[in-house]
Formats: sequence, structure tokens, C-alpha cells
Amino acid sequence: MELKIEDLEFSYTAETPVLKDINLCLTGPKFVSILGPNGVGKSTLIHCINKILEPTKGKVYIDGVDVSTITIKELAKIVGYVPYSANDTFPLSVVDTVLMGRHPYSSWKSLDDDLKIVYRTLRMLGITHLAMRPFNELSAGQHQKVMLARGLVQEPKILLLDEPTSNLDIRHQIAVTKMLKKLSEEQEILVIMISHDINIAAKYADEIIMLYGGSIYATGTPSEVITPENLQVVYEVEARVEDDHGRPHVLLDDAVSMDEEEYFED
Amino acid sequence: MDELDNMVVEYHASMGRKVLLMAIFLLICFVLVVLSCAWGTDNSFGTAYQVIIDHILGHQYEVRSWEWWQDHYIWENVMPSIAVSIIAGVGLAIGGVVMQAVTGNPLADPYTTGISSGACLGAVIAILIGFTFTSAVGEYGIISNAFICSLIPALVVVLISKRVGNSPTTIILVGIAISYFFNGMITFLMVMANPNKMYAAYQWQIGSVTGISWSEIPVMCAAVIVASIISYVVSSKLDLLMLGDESAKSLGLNVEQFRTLCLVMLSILVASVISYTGIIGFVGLVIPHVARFLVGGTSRLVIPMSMILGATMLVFANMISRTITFYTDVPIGIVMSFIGAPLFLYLILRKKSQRQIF
Amino acid sequence: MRGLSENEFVTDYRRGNHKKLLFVFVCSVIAVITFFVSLFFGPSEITAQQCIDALMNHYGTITDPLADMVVWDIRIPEACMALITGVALAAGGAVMQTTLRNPLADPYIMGVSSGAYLGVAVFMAFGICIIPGLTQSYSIVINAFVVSLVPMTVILIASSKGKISSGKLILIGIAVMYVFSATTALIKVLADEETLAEIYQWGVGSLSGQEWDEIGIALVVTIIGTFFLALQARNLDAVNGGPNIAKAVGVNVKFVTLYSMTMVSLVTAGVVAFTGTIGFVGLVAPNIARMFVGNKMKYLIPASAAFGAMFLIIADTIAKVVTPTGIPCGVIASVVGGPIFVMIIIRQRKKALL
Repeated sequence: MELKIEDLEFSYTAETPVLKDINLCLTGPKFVSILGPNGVGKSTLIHCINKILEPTKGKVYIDGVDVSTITIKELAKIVGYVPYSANDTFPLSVVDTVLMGRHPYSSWKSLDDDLKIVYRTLRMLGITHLAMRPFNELSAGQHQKVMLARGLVQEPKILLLDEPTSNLDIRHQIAVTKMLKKLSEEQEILVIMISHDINIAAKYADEIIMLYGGSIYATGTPSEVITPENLQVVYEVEARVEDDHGRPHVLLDDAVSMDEEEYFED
Repeated sequence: MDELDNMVVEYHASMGRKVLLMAIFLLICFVLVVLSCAWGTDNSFGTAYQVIIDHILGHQYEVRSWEWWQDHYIWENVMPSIAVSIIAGVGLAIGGVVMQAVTGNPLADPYTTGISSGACLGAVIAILIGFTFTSAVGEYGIISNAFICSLIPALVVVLISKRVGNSPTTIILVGIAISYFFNGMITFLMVMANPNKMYAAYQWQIGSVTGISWSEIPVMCAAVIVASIISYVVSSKLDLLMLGDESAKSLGLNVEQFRTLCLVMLSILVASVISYTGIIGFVGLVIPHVARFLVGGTSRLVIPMSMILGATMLVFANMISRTITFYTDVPIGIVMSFIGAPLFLYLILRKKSQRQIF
Repeated sequence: MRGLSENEFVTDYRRGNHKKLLFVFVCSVIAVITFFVSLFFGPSEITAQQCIDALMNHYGTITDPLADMVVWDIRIPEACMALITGVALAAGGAVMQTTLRNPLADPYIMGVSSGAYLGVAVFMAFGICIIPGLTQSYSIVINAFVVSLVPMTVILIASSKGKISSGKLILIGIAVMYVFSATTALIKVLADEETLAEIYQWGVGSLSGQEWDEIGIALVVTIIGTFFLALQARNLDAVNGGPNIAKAVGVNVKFVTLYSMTMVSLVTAGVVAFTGTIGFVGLVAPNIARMFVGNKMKYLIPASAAFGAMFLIIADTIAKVVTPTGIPCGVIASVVGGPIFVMIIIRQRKKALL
């Protein structure tokens, strides 16, 4: 499938656009990672894709169809979403939580089929033993897996994830990222994940999109995008990049100086 | 796929258990109804049961026979208030469930948008000033006033939502501001009134299920039935709403539209009930939590359970009210406060091991 | 603030603070002016000239005893009460909102209003007073004060019994409040019409009918209470940041919370006992003050107090001008304040959306 974004712009007020000049074309099943410093607009970009937000300019096309012409219910069958955090006020059991991902498809008669799909997904993620437990009694790692399951049972062609591993320990960070890569291959999904860890993203992603200043600064394979020059501009760090089995690995040296010397001559 | 089938079976089994629980409470409700009739007429349980069943089956009695009097008394004096209790209980419980879903706030009740102060103002205007919007008089004037005025807060909320969106916080804040305004107006009128009229106005405000005749019940009943059906049909959407706006949208729910729809439905539902009964508190606040505690979180189960529990609770409160009323006149609104407050306290203080509500 | 020297930075910061103090000053001035304006209005038929004379001559030779009484025994007490009540409720509201980190809190949240109302209802319906044998007005005051503190006591006892989160404490307070309201409702329903009217009137809140000694008590309570609250200003700022942050800077959250809430309840009870429950000021004044002076308690408490006093005296004056027979100023506060509050909400939400 193909995700195409043309001249996308988004702003909350008239003056300052959060995103501008976003042009993007992602094809086929792939594991894509979006990188960038805090506040650069990564979540906003994702929200423009699945219509949580409406772009102030530009268009989003999925397989040639303008997203603004699709209803959100139909879109929910194509684009899955795994949010950064989950709302805990009225907790349900794990099964019921994941079951909600079937909402775009479900009808009165489909309960059993939906349950089977839920169960298969739970098994794939290794959490079947948690099925009947209340959602708010789980650990952060288990939370994340349940949220992932909910996104997956939407049977999407595109899966959007907003920093799904930021609350997990290193083992789970690697495991989940690895699994997402495997999913993109086996289930033929275009997986787009906002990452906070450059090295793990570099290790598994097929393509990297680096955002800076509200626009796309660089796209390409990890080796192409993750370079010391790019890191210095976008993340304002001084770093070395070494090759690790064909993948770049970042070794951080220093932060770019924080004085305001650049603004004043002595 | 043994494991898979197992899970499906277990899921259905737990659903079955919950439905069973609902059935049990339904039975309790029915028993309480019969008991109310029995106590009200100094009959035994069996006699009251017999009379009720016979009436439903269309049995005719010899006029003015002992049976005829029993039948007449139960159905003309006792049953109306029971019917209203059931209808109001169902309506307010659903109102609570939906309002808590729409605002995402476990402390919300159906009056959160200020609808209760609107209704009171309408009624107070009718009672104290004699002005009615529909030029109806007497009882109908009060009811129609209350109904019309109770819709004003909802209208304000919807209009304001168009400008700043209808996020839960906005709804709650606007509801508070509206309540202040309307309550201020109510206070103004009450303070200016002479004590007799003020008494009548105050009486109206306290919830009561007595004094409502059979002819008035169909309107209330219709509204509650429609609202129940609608709520049940959209129950999965209510669940989505409780996930938070982002997640709900990502799963295909048009959040703004749906919230507005719910608010409109709620307003009509609650207005239909409280225009007749006055303000009955606690049902909308506490029953959804008890229901959730007994049958778990999905609205598909919580809504029917809340309906049953709401009806049961009000029938029970009515029973107590009628018993005390032998000595002094204590309307159901007050009885509910005395039942509801301790229940609320109990729900708060449950130990963690017993699955907390708040 | 780029590239400032240290001294420039300090001066800049101070200047910001001066603006905040300006707000407090302006509100106070308006309050005082309105105070004097309000003396010219009221149910009694007194000309402006008579008022002025009465003011001037009070400590000299009194030529017009009627005007003197009206001004000095009726109007000035009422105006004083407006200022005192405004200060007490607004400052209390500010502290409650900061402690509970909830802009919708008000000083009655510990059940003060429902407790006072119950105490008064009990006296008016059954003639029972906690200290028997007092005059009517003192009985009401004592009942109101003592019973208004019962919910707070319950909460304090509950909190000492073990680890209950402050969220739960609030809920317990709400539950106790419900029980009290239910009891009061019961009494009202069983009462006869006149008693009901009396009870209702008290509940609405009124600034008039105060005696000088009552004002004295209210004033002392307010000053002492507000003083003790102001002492906690820095600790309250820490609590406002959240429990973790507060602990990190060495503040005992639970103690500060309970202490502040108790102080607020005492001050509120002390005032409510005389005036009845005047709503709205405690909720709205801090919110508006916050828009001008920010969240720091050192400025928010005085700013809320000043605004609250100004708000109430204006409301009272409007009430007196519009209907000489006297609408309770609480009504004006709600009816006028309600829509204004809505507009403020709309503006704030619009900003928040950006």
C-alpha cells in the first residue's frame, strides 16, 4: 500500500505552523521510524494521518484515496493507532479493552469471531494469561502490549505508534521493536513508529524520517539519515556514528553548547 | 484450537454469570414491588401477588367486593408511585451512566449540565409567579415549565460547544456556571415569596414519586424507554468515548458529534423525569458505580444492570418512604439521600483488595 | 530575558511583581470607594447630605440621631461585613484551590456550608442550641459555627487513622456533606412554612443585620486566619506543584494540606456563622485574581482577598440600588457572576485550545 502526504501544513493558530512543507511517500509493507527532538511535531504528523487532527493545508492519500473523503470509521479499518498513554478512569478487562479495536468491524453477531481475533493477537504478544485481568492492574510493559494488541486487531494496513516503548525496560524496548519489524513483514503492514531511542530505531527500521523545525529534514535508510552532521543540526549533539553489522550506531560525545554566545559578539 | 475455544467459552460464561446476576436483581425488584403493595394494604405477600397477577391477566371483579377494593386500592393508590419509581430509577440510572461516559468523570451525575436548576427554576416560576410558557394551568403548567426550562442549560452547553468544543471539562464548567445563575434566580424568587408559596416551591424541588397520576405516566415512560433503547444501541460507542478523545477517534468514533447527541438525549430524558418528580439525587451518581462493580466495565452490561438496580433502589426507597409517611410526610428524595450518602461513603472506603471504585 | 546581567534580571523580576501588587492596590482602592458609595443607598429614606453629616458628626455632636443610627449602626456594619466576608471567602477559596490543585474548589468544600446550615436549621426548627440560654442571634451563630466544623473534624479523624489519600478525604467530605444536607432537607420538609422561610433565608446569606460586636469577631477571625494562611504561602506553592515535587523540596504535604484546609474552614465558619452561606465569591475571585497575578500564593492570597472584597461590596451596592427592599447580595453575585464566569471560561478554553 502507499501513504502519500502532499504539502501538509498544520497550525493551531494563524501565525505559527507546527508542521509545514511535509511531503512524504511511503510504499509497501515497511517498518518506518520517525525521529526528532521533543515538540518538533511528530505526534501532530501522526494525528494528521488518521484524522485525529485536520491539516490546515495539504492532503494525505492512502492508496491514492484522499483521506478527507473517507469516514473515520472506514479509516479505522485501514489505519491502526497505538497511543502514547491510555485513559484509566473506567478500566475494563484486557479482553474488553482489546475488543474495542474491533469496533469499526463489529456488529451484533460478530462477537465470537471478534473474540477469536482478539485471542490470536493476545497469543502473538504472549499475554493470553492476562486476558480476564482488569486493565489498570497491569505493569507498564503489559499496558503497552495491550494497547498494541488493540491497534493490531483493527487489522490495519497502516499501523501508527506514538512512542510505544518509552515506558518499557530495555529488554521490552528491543523485543517490541523487533516484533513490530517482524509484523511489518509477516502481516504486510506499513508500520510507522515514533521512536525516542535512536539506536534501537536504527537497528530495526527500514526507513527513517527525521523531523526538524516542523519539516522533514531527512529521509532514507538508517545509514543515510543517521549521520553526525544530521545529529548535530537536529538534536544539537556531537556524536560519532559507527557501523554495527550494516546499521549505524550512535555514540554520544557532547551536547552542543547551550550558551547564547551565538547571539552576542564580545 | 483448544485454547482459543476455551477462551471464547470462558468469555461467554462470564457474560452468562453477569446476566444471571441481572436476572436475580430483577427478581428482587419484582419481590419488592409486591411487598410494597402488600405493606401498603396490610395484606400478606401472597394476597398482594395474587391481586397483581389477576389484574394483569385482566380479571374482573364483582364491583365493590372485597377483591375489587383490594384491586382498586393497589392499582390506584400504590401502583402509580411504584411505576414512577421504576421509570425514574431506570431513567436516572441511565442518565448517570451516559453522563459519566460523556464527561469521563466518575463523579458526574445526570444533573451535571445544570439541568436540575433549570427545571427548578421553571417550576418555581410557575408556582411563585404563576407564569407558564405554555399557558397551561395548575399541575400541567408546572410540569411544562419545568420541562422547557430544563432544556435551556443543555442548549447553552451545545451552543458554547460550537465555539470552544465540547470537551468534558468545558461541559462541567459551563454546567457549574449555569447552575450558579439559575440557582441565583431561584433564590431571588423564593426570597421574595411569601412563606406559603415558598413552601410549595420547596416541596416541588424535593424529589417525590407520589401524586402522579396514571395519565401522566406514559410521557415519562416513553422518554425513558426510548432513551434506554438508544443508550443500549450505542453502548459500544460509549465505551470508546471513555477511552479518551484520541483513541476514540482512531477507532472510528466522531467524538464531537456523538457527545452532542448524548447530551441532547440526556437532556430530554432527565427533563422528562424530573419535570414530574422533582430532583431525586444519588441514583444517577451511585448506581452506575454499583452496576460497574457487579458486572464489569463494558456499557453493554452496565446499562441494563444500572436500569435494574436503579428501579430496584427507587422501589425500595419508595417502600421506606411510604412506611415513614404513615407518621410524617417524607418524600422519596430525602429517603434517597439517606440511603445514597452512606452507600457513597461505603463505595469510597472499600479496601483495595475488594476492587475500588474511586 | 536573553543576555541580561544578573542585576537586570533581578530588576525585571521585581518589575513583574510590582504589576501584581498594582492589581491588589487597584482592587483595594475600588473596594474602599465602593464602600463609601454604598453608604448612600439603602432601604431607609436618607438624603445624601444627611449621610455626609452623619459621617462627619459621629464623633462630635450628633445632630440627626436617625441618620446617625442608619449610617453607623446599619449601613457601615453591612459594608464592613461585605469587605470582611469577601476577604475571608476569597482568600479561603484561593488556598483551597491551590491545596487541592483544582480551580473548582471553594472554601465550603470541607462541608462548612452544609454543617452550618444544619446547625441553624436545628435551632430554628427545634430550638436546640449547643449552648443553651443564649439570645436568638447568638444561638444561631454558635450552632452554625460548631456544626459547620463537624465534617472537617470527621475528615481530620479519618486522616489520622491511616493512609488515606487526599482525594479520598475530599470524597469523604462530600459524603458527610450529603448526609448533612439530607438531614437538613428532612427538617425543612417537616417544618412549618414560617420556619422553612426563616431557614431558607438564613441559607441564602445576608450581610445586613450585623451588630458591631459580631463584626469585631468576624474581623478578628478573618485577620488571624488569613495571617496564618499567609505564613504557609511558600509551602502551599510547593504543594501546588504536586506531591512528588513538594516532598522533594521538603514539604510535608499531608500536614500542610490538612492545616490549610482546617484554617480555611475555621475562617469560613467564623464568617458564615454570621452571614449565612454566600456562595460564588470563594470560587470565582481566586480564578479571576489568578488571571492577573499568577499562581504564587504570596500574591494570589492578597489579590484574591482584595478582589473578593471589591466584588462583594459592589454586588451589595448593586443589590441595594436595584431593590431597596434588599435582594441578598449572594443572589446578585450568582446571577451576574454566573454569565461572566461562563464568558471567562470560554475565553480561557479558547486559549487552551491553541
